[in-house]
Amino acid sequence: MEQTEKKTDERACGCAEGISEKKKKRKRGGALQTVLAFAVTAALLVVFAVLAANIGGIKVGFWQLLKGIFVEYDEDVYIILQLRFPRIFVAILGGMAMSAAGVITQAVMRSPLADPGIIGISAGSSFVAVLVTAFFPALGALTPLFSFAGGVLAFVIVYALSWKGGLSPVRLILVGIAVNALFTGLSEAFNQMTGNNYSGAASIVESNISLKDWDDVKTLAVYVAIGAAACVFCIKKCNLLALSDRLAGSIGVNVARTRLQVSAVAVFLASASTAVVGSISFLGLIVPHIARLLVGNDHKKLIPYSALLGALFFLVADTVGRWIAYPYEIGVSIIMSVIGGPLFIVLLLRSKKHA
Amino acid sequence: MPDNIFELSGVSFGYEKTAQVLDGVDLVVPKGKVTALIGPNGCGKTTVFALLTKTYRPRSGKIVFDGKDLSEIPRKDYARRVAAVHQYNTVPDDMTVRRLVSMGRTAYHNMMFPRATTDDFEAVDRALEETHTAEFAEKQVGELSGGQMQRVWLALALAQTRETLLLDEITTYLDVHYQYEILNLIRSFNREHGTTVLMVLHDINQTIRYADNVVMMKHGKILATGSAEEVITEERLREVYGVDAKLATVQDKKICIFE
Repeated sequence: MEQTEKKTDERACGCAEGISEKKKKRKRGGALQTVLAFAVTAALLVVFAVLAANIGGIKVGFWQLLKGIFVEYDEDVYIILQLRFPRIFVAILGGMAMSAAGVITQAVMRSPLADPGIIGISAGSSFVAVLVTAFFPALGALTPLFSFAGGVLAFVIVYALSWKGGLSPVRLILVGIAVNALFTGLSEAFNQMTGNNYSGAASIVESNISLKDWDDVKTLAVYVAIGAAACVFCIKKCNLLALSDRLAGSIGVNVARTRLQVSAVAVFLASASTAVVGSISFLGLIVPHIARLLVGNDHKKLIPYSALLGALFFLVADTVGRWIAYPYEIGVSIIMSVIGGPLFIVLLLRSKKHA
Repeated sequence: MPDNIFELSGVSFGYEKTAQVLDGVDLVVPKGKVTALIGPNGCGKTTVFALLTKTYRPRSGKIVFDGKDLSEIPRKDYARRVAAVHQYNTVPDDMTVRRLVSMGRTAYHNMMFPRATTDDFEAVDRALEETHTAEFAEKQVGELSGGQMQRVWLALALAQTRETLLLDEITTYLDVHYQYEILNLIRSFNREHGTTVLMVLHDINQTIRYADNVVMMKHGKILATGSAEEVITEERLREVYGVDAKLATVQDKKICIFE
């Protein structure tokens, strides 16, 4: 439709140049738009981090905060540093990992509706993380490695059951929901059987990040850094996977192997986030979707931008949850579900492949 | 050096366990020639194409490429010698033409640290020039018409290699002007660079005009192979397509007229 319209335009006024120029500016992924998107998102992230540090009983100004951190001891700042900062960093790192995992999963499954949080990957890794946290709390920083195994298990199940020559998005969602329900149910069953006695495990089941400390931040930071390094090697592969399998094959790509390598990175990132934050739905779906509209489909821009936007999105969701019914808190996963559910339906209805 | 680029012997294939799409295909594709693969819908042309592009493996039988067993040639090595234009393709619609065509150079890159070389730029520029796609090289593929897109796919294949081209119904989306332009272009590659071409075609007249060698298929089998003169006869057209056709000579060129 759009194409034909454009052509008539060009012919009618004979100023094809001018029109395509204008069109280009509105097009996704223009250089200027990309730079703007990155800059604005990064600025907002800083603003919200400061805001988040100031929600609660104690309030400090931006300069007092800096002074308290770098210059002299300040009790208020100390409390904020120990209680609120870890939570902010966990939100930022978890949001980054989960959103990047979303983009990469979508590239692997070639479906914009694939989200590790919805199709059960997070639930699988969450279940293992819950078991490890409950029974082997000493393993602490190694939990993400075990949750990775759980994520891989869930991924293999979903992939094997929804792949038939190609991947039908509907099948993917249906199988994913079933796998998600199974692992979520197992985690909750475990949590209730043990009378919520394992608070660390319970916080993963409930995806509650209110009690995170600096150890959690360190653990998450290490795994996210590894995941980020792996992402660099995925950019080109993700772009190649966007082509149809036979085209990718005939230009010399070993599609099956590439898909496997890239999937591993996605599951790793999702599992790392899940092991600390718990299972979060819709983040890995909505953030990449918005990111595509802003910076386009080239993974060179899409992966880093999704990570940045994911950090902002998740931090905002957590902050809103803390602020909206203060002094009560609404868990960040609940906020994500309330925002994400309706948006997911919108995406589902708009998806061409599904129609 | 073998004279044939492809040699298929007793190749069978089916997408489902029960149904056989190809049933013992024996086929040779000579080097340095333009070969057309023709036959009615569902006769297995596209399946032969899929086997030659390594999209699928034959269920039984053997495919030999330039003297070597096809299944033993690594995908990357194969891609440096054989390029393909498939019938349907997907690509993100915000990718620029130039970036898409550059993807034809993938087989020359290290997957871990891909880096474009001068060879890459030259090959891409040349392919864009030759297919007349250079003028819209910076446009996004979502903005192109079907005909423009088809030329972009050919550009991608040319950026990849000029040794062997496999083309599946490349003229389908084109108007008459571009159909002949693209076929002339393909033949000029064959004449000037010795490019071996195997193309799936639907148009009998184009086949007569452009193919040195014609392979006619029916029901997953090869019915006839040889020059257009030998293979395309009124009786065969009736047998294979169920149409009454007359072959006539106009200005020294043979043409096929359908009743």
